Amino acid sequence: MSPASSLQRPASSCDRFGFLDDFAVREMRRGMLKALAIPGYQVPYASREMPIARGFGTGGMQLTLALAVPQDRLKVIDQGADDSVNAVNLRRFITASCPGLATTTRTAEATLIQTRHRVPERQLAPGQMMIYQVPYPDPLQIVEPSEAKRRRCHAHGDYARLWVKLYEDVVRFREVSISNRYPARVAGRYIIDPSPIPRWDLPKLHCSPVAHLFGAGREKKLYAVPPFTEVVPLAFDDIPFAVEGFRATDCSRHACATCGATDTFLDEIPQVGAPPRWLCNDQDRCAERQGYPDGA
Amino acid sequence: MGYVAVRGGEAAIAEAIRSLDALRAGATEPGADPGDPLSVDAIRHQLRLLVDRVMGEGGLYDPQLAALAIKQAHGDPLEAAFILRAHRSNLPRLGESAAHSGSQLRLIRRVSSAFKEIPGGQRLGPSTDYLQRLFRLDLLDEDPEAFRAAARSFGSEVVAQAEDFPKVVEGLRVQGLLQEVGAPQPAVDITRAPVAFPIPRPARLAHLTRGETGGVLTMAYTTMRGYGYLHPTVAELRVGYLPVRLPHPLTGEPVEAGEVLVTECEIVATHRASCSATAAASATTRSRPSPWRCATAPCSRGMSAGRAIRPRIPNSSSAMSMASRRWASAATTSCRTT
Amino acid sequence: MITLDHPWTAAGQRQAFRLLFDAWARPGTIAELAEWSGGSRARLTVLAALCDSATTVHDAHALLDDGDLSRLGAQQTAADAAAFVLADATRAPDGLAPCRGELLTPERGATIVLDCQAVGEGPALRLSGPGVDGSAELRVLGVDPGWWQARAAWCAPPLGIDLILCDARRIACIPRSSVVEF
Repeated sequence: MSPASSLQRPASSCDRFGFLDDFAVREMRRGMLKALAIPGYQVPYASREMPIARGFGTGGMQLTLALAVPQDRLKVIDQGADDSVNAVNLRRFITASCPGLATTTRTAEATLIQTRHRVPERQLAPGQMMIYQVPYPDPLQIVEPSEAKRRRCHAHGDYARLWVKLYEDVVRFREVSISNRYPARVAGRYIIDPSPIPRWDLPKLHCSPVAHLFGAGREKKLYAVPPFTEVVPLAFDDIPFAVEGFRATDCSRHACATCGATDTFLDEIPQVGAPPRWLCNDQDRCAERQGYPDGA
Repeated sequence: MGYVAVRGGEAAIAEAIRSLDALRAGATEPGADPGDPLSVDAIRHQLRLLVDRVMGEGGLYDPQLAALAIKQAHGDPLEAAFILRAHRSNLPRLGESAAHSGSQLRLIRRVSSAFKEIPGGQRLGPSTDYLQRLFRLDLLDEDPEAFRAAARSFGSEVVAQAEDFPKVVEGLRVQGLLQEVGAPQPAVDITRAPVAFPIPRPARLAHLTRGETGGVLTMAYTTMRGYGYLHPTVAELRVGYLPVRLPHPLTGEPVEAGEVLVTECEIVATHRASCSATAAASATTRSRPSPWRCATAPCSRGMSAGRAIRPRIPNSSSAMSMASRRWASAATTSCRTT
Repeated sequence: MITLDHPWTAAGQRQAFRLLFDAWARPGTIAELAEWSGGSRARLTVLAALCDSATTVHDAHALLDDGDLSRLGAQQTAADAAAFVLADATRAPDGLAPCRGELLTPERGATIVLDCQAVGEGPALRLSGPGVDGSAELRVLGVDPGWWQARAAWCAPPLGIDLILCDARRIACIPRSSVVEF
């Protein structure tokens, strides 16, 4: 017997639509429904080991794989880029394991948008869904290392220590020093870690027309913000929440060096021997503003 | 109950050796063809990451001996490192190099996750980071000719000289976001110097460098996810061949004695200022002093010559404090040169 | 070779779940599952997409036949322990005490699959809360008023039960987070 025939052909990415076995998919389905019914609550789930390492977006990927149907159009972004190695890698795997699933880089055309670190600048519309890759699902992690205790805090709505942490920031730095993963209260109850999206993106979750699903593969949690649901960043009355300003030293607003936008989240690109350049982080938005010159 | 000396040692040991050799030759499957004995060269190339790991944990840069140790240890990395360490014990310490800088690397890989674009660009290199962990069934019955052709058709793994690439952290330093790292302290060979607490930084690094990979990974994870809250960003990861220069025994002038494959990783992390500086905060934010302020991820490849971080108290204008971990001193590793 | 028809195919369940997901995310909207039901009532399509041997089911009014039960594979348990409760909406929920979850485990609050005469017809409910833009109207026919009283008693978000109303072809969802007015 040759070595090849002595091994059962392992389940490859093509054997089953969505790679996951039926039991895993049903568990994800049950979890997603409860996550929507209890907005902001972190639903524990088994989180299968995937052919891509934990920390590379397996939580978001499992949600996508469980939800996708062949008529979907998938967009995968990493820090606003469709072509980063991580996004390319995830897209390759998802499309190989979901025969028929189309992909797109255009936000307007996508039905499923899996993302790391950004929410598209373009206004989302019903019929679309956001899926986030989450490294740390629990906003209380910065103040309480014990998960057992954190669960009790969430159960009783006890977020006092998070407030104190914010207050300490204000005392020491005159502002809340959290640049991303800014905690927000969902539907007046649970406080979530919205994944490492910048502050800039947080208002897009508030009363959004689409559902936002969050998957933390390594931490084995999933949670959701349903459409038309209040998402309120934690802030004090006298020190309101503020998004990034992208102000130069003369207080003017940096503009994208490519498309000229002054209403987008910008990346700083360091230059050798020259001041940094500023570019739209959301590649598709930048290309759309230019009328898709590359026909992308 | 005490520890009892088992009698009949001669015969038992002889039998242990015989059975180990028999098992290595496939004795558990009677009639099965165990194939040819593994050549040390095959181990060195086809199990190259295991060789790197054993050299790292063994504290000796010698791919051939590491491959032999792996063969002899039936592939158990702990046992193989053990063999290498025991051998290293009796090697004379011929000299001590000065601290080397990663700017001399002949790079095979260079990535950053701190910035989307970095001056000089990113080079993914021979990495499994973005491979899908699905079986490659073609390797079950691999065609030897195609196997050899893959090596022949490949140019060079070296993609660039490091000096052409400005350090990412230097850019951050220019902006005043990172503190200068102080001058390297004298190297400590932990196998030749007695341990005296508090042990100096180079000795700590040497212990970590030789630490069992899984153990170091556990420590890293504990810092990041257990009681720590440090989520470092890789400012820059470089893998490449580092020319090692030793002082000439007569003239004292540095001369190149060979090269080692090293991984250099500089990370940047937001982390809490020292406990004393934030007494007000410690009531609510957990402050547990830890000897390791930073995760030390094991190197993906090659020798890790040192790992350390420098904590920094945040300045008034920035809530971020940065810690940079930098490659320290090649002198913590003995280099066997021929 | 044994071939399966909807609602027992993986592909059909995937399609049905996506419709269920959208209806659940937007309480009050109606989803049409007939294409993926293979002639069964929608309640079976819903259960087939969600249940397997890892879940528990309480069939309060014996709506499932033996064949369906064995294909679902779910363990049958008492109402207060079941993750899914299947019931006939025309009958009052007398004595039913489904699991509402606990503060540490609100996700254990049951999903109640309620078989009604018609979804999209009949008396109107007004829904508001997460998933609803302002308020939404939902009409359902053949639901004993006792269910609404019971739901009000069971639901105190984050604890409570989530309802999936099913007729022959259509479904609509009322998760515990919804406010229901008449």
